[in-house]
Amino acid sequence: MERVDVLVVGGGIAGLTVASALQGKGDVLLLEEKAYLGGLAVELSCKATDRCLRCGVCRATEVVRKGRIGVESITGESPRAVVREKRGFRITTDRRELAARLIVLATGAVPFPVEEFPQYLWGRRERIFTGFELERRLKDSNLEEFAAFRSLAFVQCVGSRNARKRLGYCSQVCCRYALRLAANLRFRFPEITIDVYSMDLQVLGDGQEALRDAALSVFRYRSLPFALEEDADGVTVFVEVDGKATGRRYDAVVLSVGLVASPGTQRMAELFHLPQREGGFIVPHLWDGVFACGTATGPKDITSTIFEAEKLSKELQAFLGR
Amino acid sequence: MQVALFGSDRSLPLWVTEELERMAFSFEVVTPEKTKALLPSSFVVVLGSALLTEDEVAELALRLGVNPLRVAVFPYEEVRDLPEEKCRTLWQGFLRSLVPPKIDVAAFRVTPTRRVLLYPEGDERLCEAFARARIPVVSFPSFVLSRKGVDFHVMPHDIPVGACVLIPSLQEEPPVVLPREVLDTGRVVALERLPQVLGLSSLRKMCVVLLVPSPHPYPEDWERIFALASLPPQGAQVLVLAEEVFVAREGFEEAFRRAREAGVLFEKLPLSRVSLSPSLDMRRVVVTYTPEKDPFPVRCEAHWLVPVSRKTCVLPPFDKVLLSDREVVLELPENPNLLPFATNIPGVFVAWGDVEDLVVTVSRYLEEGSIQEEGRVRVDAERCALCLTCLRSCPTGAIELSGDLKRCIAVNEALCARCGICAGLCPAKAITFEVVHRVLGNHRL
Repeated sequence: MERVDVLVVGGGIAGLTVASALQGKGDVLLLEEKAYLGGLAVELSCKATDRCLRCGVCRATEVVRKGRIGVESITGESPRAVVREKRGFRITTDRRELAARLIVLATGAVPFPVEEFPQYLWGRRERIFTGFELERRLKDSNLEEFAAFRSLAFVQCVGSRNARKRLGYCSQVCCRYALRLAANLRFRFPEITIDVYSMDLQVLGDGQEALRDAALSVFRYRSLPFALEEDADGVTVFVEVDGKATGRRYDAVVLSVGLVASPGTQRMAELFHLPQREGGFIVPHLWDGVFACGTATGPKDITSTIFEAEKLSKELQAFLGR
Repeated sequence: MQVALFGSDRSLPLWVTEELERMAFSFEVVTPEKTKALLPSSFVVVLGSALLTEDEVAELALRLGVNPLRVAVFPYEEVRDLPEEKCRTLWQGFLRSLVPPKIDVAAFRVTPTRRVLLYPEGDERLCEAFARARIPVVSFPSFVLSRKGVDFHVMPHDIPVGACVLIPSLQEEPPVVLPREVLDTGRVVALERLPQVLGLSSLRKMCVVLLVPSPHPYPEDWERIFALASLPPQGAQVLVLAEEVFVAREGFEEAFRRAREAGVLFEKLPLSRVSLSPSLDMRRVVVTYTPEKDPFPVRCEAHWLVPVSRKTCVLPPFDKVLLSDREVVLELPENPNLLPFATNIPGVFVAWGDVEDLVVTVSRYLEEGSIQEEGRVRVDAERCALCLTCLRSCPTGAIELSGDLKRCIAVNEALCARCGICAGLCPAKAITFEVVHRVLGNHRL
């Protein structure tokens, strides 16, 4: 059985930041369920136009690159059973047994599964993208079809700020990535006109100036559509204007999906008996050696995730020194 | 010769090991946790990505305790997906290019003095946060900073400080230009004073109108606005006119909902649709606005009008403070590789945003320190004019054209004999033999 001081569960940027900050302060081991380190952030793309929009993806890439050479990790395994002992935990993973004094849960979040909004997916799904799909296309520079599009709509708050679906929180990232994507698309394809359907735009944090410019370059409607229907040559957005249902035609629609807790986070909450908030995010007990950071505790952008992880690693250093 | 392979990948393909054996290298695989027992003459080959920076390689050399010039990076992550034949040739070529360097470079870690200069004086919260992190702070009314090694020295007093934190001042501007007559009513109050004003007023129901500019991302102000719902019931009818309501923070969506349920009205509209005038008796403010959704103007009489100010940060004049051998202009982070508090000068931070985050950033900078390498050759890219005097004079052929965007020469330190001829002949004095500091982390441009 392997003994470590700190076991970090989850190899996203939060877990990697904690593990790299604790290098040399104690034995740290990182467990990642997938085959590679990096989590959600490595799937995102830099959204710079001729200026930097400060999306923070390059900082995430740097954290991941440092973590890959500096952190001892086991990939492809996750905790299956936990036994509390007098001084720590005994954890059974898929292939081995570990003993750890402290545990950091950094199991992260996933994009909201858009299938839970069937009213947004009438018809074929070739011209309706989620924000994360668009990010992935941007990263692979697979945007040829967008050159033919003349009009584009962004629908905000898909899966956030929705008390009826028990998701009554703001996901904090979607307005900003939508505006950055809109700015990037307008920079690549200047002829495209972009409409944004939103409640309010949450423009805050890093790069506000650039985002404000982006918000001025799009047309904003203050209402959310109640349905989207796709056919052969476009998407109809059904929206209520002055109490009447109206259909507006667009070449493509981007759904700005929010963040919900990842299946791993949900499983860890059950395993460690941690209380959960709306969206499945966990609330850690601070007293019994289980800590949590990153998007496992609530939706966050890259910069604040890194800061939270650094603050947590400061706390853990104090624990390890004892 | 001995080669230590460093990489996170534990199962190496055959072409790596076969070629090593064929070229009569003995090798071992080093993993991040196993960092001891390397022979001083061994090479470390990092099987990493081509994107590894020089600083990261230097950090690795320090951790493994070897001469930084004996660490080489093979872009394994980019190469391994190629066909095997191609990989083999690339790897062969790479192994042949490993030349034992003639110089020993001593590398060790230096950390700045654990003391922070605040300019101008910091407020209580900032000083408290630094005290909790056990970082002493100093501040002076007038001084000049000069850099010595990793530290700054505060000049007339000659006190070493590790970092300098610039504290911007907040400049408030109202969301709309208030007409003179409206100001004359005396019914305009600041948001901070509103609970006191309402507490003093009689039991009569008051109407309070708040004007919030867009965007207004100041969580403290929004906390106050959402808390207006918890005023005593006879207190006030509150109407908030804002283009966007800020909810992107933990618990704010919930607070927003509670405020609406408690009777605070939120009207989302651009403030250009709002017009203000005093009432006839000059004791109230008449607010007229047209909502976004319907065309009829709404008129209400406000007992109190609260313009919530937009704040802009103004930096203290820093360019007159920093003393160095050449002009350094303070730039704010346009480059995202910098942390949100960092500037282009390593060790100078700007205190905006969350205080705790700032203290974490500064203490991380002070603890990580930088790697000091003695014996490196340094080429000043700004001074190098590419006259190639050095290239012609070098006896060992160690001068190379680096070919990057900055266009300056580079010195291949594996070949350099440290004779000093180039440094003496360089007309621009661009080549120096000196101590090089590599600031770790993201604290540099």
